[in-house]
Amino acid sequence: MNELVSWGLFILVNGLAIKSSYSAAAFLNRSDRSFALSAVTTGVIYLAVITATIMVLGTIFQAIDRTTVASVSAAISVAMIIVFRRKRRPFHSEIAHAWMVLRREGDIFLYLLVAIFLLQAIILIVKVAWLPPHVWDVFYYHITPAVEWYQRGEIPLTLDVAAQNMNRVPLGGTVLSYWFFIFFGDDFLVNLPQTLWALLLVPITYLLGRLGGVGRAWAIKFAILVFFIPFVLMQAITCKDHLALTASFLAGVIMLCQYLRNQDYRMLITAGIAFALTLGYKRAAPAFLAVALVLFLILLWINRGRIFAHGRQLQGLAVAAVISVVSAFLVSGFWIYRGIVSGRSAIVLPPRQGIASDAASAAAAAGAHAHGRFSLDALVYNAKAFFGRVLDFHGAYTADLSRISGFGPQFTVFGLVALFFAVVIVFRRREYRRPELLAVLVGLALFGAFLITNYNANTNSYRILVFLPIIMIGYAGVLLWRLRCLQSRWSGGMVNIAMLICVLWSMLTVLPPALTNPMQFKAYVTAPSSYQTTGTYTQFFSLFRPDFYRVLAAMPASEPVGIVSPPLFNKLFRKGQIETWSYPYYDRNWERRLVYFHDRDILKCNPANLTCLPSPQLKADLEKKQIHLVSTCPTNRCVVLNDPDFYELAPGFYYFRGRP
Amino acid sequence: MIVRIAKAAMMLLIPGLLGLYVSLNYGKLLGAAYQVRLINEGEPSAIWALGLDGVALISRALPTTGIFDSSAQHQINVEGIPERIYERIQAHTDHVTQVYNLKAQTSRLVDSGKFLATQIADRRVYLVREGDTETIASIFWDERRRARDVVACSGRKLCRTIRFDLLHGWGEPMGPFLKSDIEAARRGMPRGRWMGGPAAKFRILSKRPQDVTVDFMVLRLSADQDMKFKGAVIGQKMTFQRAATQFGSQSLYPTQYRVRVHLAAGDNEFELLSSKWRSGKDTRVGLAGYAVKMKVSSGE
Repeated sequence: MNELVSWGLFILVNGLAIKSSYSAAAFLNRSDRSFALSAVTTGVIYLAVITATIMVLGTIFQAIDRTTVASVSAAISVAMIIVFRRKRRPFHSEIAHAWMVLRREGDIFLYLLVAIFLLQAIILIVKVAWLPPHVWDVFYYHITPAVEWYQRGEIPLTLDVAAQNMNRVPLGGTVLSYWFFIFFGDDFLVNLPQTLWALLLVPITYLLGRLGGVGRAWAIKFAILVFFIPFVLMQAITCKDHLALTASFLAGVIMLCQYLRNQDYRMLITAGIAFALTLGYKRAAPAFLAVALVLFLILLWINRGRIFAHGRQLQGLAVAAVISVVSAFLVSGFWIYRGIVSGRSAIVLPPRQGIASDAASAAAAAGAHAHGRFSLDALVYNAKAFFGRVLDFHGAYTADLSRISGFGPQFTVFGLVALFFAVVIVFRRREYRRPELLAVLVGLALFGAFLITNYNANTNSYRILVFLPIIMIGYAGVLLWRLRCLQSRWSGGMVNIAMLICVLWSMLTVLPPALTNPMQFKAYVTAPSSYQTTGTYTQFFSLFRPDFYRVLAAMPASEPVGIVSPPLFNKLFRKGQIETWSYPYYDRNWERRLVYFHDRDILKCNPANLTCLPSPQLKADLEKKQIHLVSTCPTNRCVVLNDPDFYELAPGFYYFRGRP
Repeated sequence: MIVRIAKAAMMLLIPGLLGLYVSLNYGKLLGAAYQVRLINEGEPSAIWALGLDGVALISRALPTTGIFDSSAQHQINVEGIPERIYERIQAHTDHVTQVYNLKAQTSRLVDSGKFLATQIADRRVYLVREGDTETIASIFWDERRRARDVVACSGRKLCRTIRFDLLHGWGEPMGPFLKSDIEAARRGMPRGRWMGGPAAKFRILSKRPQDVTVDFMVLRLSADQDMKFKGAVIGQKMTFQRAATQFGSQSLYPTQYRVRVHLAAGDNEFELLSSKWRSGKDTRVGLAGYAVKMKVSSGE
């Protein structure tokens, strides 16, 4: 019954939010009735409104329980539906129109690709529901804050946690994960936000193709090809944020392109809202936006005669700017404010690692030998590594993209060629009249910045570069269309076959569930739902401390766990206190409470054998807080507690008996 | 002209680059197929049910825990159940029926006071009252505490007079491992310790001079690998040798030695010499064999 109510509420509130966003999209897209444009605008507004709702309720009103979130969101949606009621268009007519367009094309390959796309979308959703958060960055800072917010009922400025990264970086993705948790009180949908962004990449890339004049069928095919980039499929089922950063950013860039084409200032409003979301995803986002805006202004200046020929453009620009600032304030203002307060704002102080790079922790930057932001050495290193990385042969496909790019065969086949042509084409002045060139210029500029950045000379840096294959594969469609390769039967057929191979390749190679023990996957999915947690799924602990999480799964979720992760651990372990993996401790209903003992060295350890003596202070604190279960593992390595008051249940996991 | 060249270049590059990428990454496709095969080889959670007078009391899917009891034969599952049902089961332990993977079982429930326990197939299932953290902790701790190392002593009289120490050349105690363990090289391995090559040293501290027998069970690396005891050995012989047994991705040769040794009063050091060994990836010692049992007794 309770589950039925949860589903009912989820469908009702989200249905209203989507309906109201669609109404707002109809208002903003009066000049263009494209289904893809509607989809992008609706998606961006929907995600922005739900993010802003959680942010305002969590930070100002300190009330983010299910009832408050659902009722406030429903009220906002109803208000939006009323405000935009005169501009609304029946949704089914747009769907019917899109279906008619699709049927009219009569292209077998198109239908085949659409069918594979729909199948893949279903697979992604099943994976989201089946697989818990399972990538290790997620364990320590992407999703853990959402649990803390849920247990506190608010979004505080800082959290008393061992991994301080979550008190420093923007957590827009975490906010969306929270939204998809709160209706059910279960974490089975927390990986969904990035899936939605992945799906939005299809209309975004389609619009890029259409801006370049590509025919509808081919624009759809290239859009599907982008969706099938292995990186996209892998990250779409995680709580990480590179995909969300890229998709929201590109949604904004495409809207700027739309404005360059039709001078409708409402496109800039959508762009502003999309960029507001981008700001909430990574500290590198302001640098992304700065590059896009500078290039937009340059193109605006170059095309000023044409764009400003019609009056009132400046007024429109001003309106869009105001709405963008307000959106940014509501959606991501808190993260910017928190950054300023902690002295780590990307706006006040751009990330030390430079633009087009993931703003990494100091430890990670040091590991990458990053002294200063840019250097010629970095350029040489990154340029040399580029082909090896994009050809993906250095390692397996994983969402962390260690030593590979995950850009897939589609980038090698279409994107690399387009990249080469793009570098040549930007020197042709008459290209500057083409609206899609803004996206290409943004891609090239950020790629250039990526290459000269020291920090990017590390094994995981290509996660931030995913805008490149998306833009370049989309642009390949434009180039091939302009060269009339797609219109001819022979060459078009070859492109079709290459696309089909790329899509099937990505689908098959990324299909098996990742980062787990495949031989126990059947047992995992048939186990009781309470047992299906990150701790029991992940392979990262299968080697080092599987017993720990299986013992923990047998413990009542109401029993808190004390995580002993003192500063000393930063010396004992490569990934110490600063990357404490918290999420695997939680049950899927986020009931278990974690208490961190992280600010003082409450252990006396022998580094040779990692055996430690707990201090009387630790025992007193545990007793005071009535904590019996104690972990001594910051990540997947643990210390041994040598004390008769601590009973070892599994390596690194103890029962503290307290005073009898 | 330029357009034609560009078009021709594109049409040549597309199949060429696709071929290059696929040939460089062909292993990923094979890897995915292998993963799917492993998923298919896995087994679902076991279904276990308790009933009374033909009425089902509880039915649970028992997850694969990979945590073994002290005998290293059964996986442990701890199930929290509501107080009311727990008391009902507790009151009728002799009449409760059990079904495991749709098959009726004859196993009995044992009431320890704080928990109920039963042994079915490869499982040891504990039933506890919901929320009873202390009892759950005591179950895991006790099973862990009672788990035996490879070294065992048989006979109370003898055991009072000797102490057995593994010196250098021994890995940490490990296992047993499930047949579905993530590491292919250790799937299905019993509880044991890797012993190093060329020698693994141990010491028997004896309170008085005496002759004892050491029964040593080891999984050797190859059939032609020689193993010898060095020390005050009276006689040694290989008592049996089985053909290669497959443990995941590696073949090992279960072999038993019986060694008669003379212990002087005080320290008696012995070495296990091996003619072959290989380097260990995760252990600090070279790998000469996987010691499963080393039992000291007074018998001939």
